[in-house]
Amino acid sequence: MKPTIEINDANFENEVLKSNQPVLVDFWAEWCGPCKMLAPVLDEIAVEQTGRVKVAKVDVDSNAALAARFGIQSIPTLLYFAGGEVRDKTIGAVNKRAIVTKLEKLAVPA
Amino acid sequence: MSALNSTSDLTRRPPRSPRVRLGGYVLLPRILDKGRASLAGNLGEYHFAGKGMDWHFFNFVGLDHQALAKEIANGGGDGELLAWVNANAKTPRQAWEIAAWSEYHLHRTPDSDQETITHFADEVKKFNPLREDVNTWFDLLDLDDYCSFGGKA
Repeated sequence: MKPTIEINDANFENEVLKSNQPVLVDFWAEWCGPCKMLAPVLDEIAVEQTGRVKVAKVDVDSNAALAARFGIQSIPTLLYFAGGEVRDKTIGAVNKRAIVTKLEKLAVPA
Repeated sequence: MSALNSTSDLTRRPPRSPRVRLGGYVLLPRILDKGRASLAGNLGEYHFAGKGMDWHFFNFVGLDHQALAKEIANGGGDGELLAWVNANAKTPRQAWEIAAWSEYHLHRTPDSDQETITHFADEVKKFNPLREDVNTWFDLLDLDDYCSFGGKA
């Protein structure tokens, strides 16, 4: 079973906006080399952060409306959601440490 | 000279390299050359069927090769055909998407499964077993084109 969640228009609200946990959303496409480099990193994070953070993926080819809604202009783009809002963003194949650091900040209570 | 005749004889020369871009799309000039050659009956050993590497372009923009062939038959040049592609793509693409897609294919290697990797290595060996610099699918297509018309690998 894949450790990440596939997101589409139908489940975006429940899985991301209404999630009780922070959600890392990866906007990706099959034809994106850096996205493929990032994928195993996100799988690792999803496994390591089970129960604390959700890691979700949006295929921009299949979900153009979601990509447009969040102004995606480059992939991979990672959006960091908490409480139904975008709290942070990274563009490109950033390293695991940078991603985890941002997730840890989201997990800290306000 | 008509646009149809300018690059339509692939029994005499190869199509343009897959690296050549039109409207930002790699592969498209090569596909147009093959489409023109197909219409002229001069495809030689090439294929114009929307399969193989060409499939990636048609899939990306949401067109089929038969529709493009009909438009090519009207005799338009590259510019007219690019405009037609952009106007008729079922999946209209933004510039950043085209750039990312092209960059991906420029560097795409046979990394899917062992069978594909072995097939790729065998193809390179046919030309020259010493050519360890041939790593991407575009490298292989360029080498194939070169050798198909007398080049030595």
